[in-house]
Amino acid sequence: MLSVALALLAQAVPADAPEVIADEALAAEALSEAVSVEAAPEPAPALLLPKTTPLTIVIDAELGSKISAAGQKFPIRLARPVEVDGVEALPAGISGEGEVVHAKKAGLAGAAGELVLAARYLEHDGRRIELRSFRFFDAGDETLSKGQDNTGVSNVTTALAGPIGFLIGGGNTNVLPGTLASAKTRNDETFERPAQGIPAGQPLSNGEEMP
Amino acid sequence: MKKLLTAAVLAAASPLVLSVAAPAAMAEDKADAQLEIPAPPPGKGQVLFYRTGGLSGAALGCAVFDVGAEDKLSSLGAGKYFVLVSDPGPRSFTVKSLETKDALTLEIEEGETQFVRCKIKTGFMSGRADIAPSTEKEFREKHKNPKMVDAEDMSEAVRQTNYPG
Repeated sequence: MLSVALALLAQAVPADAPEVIADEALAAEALSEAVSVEAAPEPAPALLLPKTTPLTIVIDAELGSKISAAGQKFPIRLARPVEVDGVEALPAGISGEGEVVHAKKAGLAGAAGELVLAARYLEHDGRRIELRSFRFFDAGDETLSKGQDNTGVSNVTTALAGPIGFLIGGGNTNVLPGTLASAKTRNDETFERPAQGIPAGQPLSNGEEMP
Repeated sequence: MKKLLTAAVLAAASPLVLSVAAPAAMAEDKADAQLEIPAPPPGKGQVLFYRTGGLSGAALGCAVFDVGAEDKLSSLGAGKYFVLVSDPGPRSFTVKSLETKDALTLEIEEGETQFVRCKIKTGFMSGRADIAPSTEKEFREKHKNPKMVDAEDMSEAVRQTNYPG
């Protein structure tokens, strides 16, 4: 009787063994998947360059109240890199375009020449970063948006010496290539954060450089 | 002889009158030196037009128009200013006088204030109004005693900005 029972038990164990092994394999597979999910790096949050971020730009053309006309486009480039959270979002040297909004040459009676410019955009990685709020860096009372204003001299001369004061002219304003100016970003701009461990500017394995 | 005496008395008294009036003027200067320019409403930009005082062309107004418009935005007398609230973007202005007119185009930016100065320059028969881009620094330095243009010299839109309520 006992031998019969042992024989039955011996037959039963091999029949259950494959199921146990299969369950263990599934569990191991599930565990490895879970581990691999945990190990995968989370996508880094994008870099946000908020609108109205100040930039320093360089004007790469000669402009002036006498030689420029409204609507004329001119090249600009970024003078200094722009960083977000210590990461370079816009490198120095990227180029773009500005536009002459208003130009009027100096006139009689001491009228100064006038020049109003706008920064339109910079191009980076095939996209346009729109700009606004162009300003010259004024040095003291000097501003490149106006030439020498001789209106007062003209008026005094007219009062003292008659119409000859009308013939006194004003000065024109000239902007030389390399002139620095300020502008701001028009919109919020997002950029992909470079992968950790590869500093910006270092070549990638395929020979390209990180932006 | 009586008239001569009266004139002499008035001439002698004028420095006294000026010295009595001076503290009031100084107080006004001090108050005006603290002129605060309100920020433009959200989504808008603004332009502050001003004209400094002085004898030159004092009798002439400097009427500011949008280019192509028949109704003036406002008219600047000597020593006056007004603020124009505007949508962002390029906008052209003109000033007209008997002999000629002058125009200026600005790029109005959201949330920012720009400055425009009007001057009366010499003309053949009468003064000529001239507008030019300016800066807040120039406005503060050269316009020591700024006064708002009278409400009746403004268009309805400009009046609502400068004389709210």
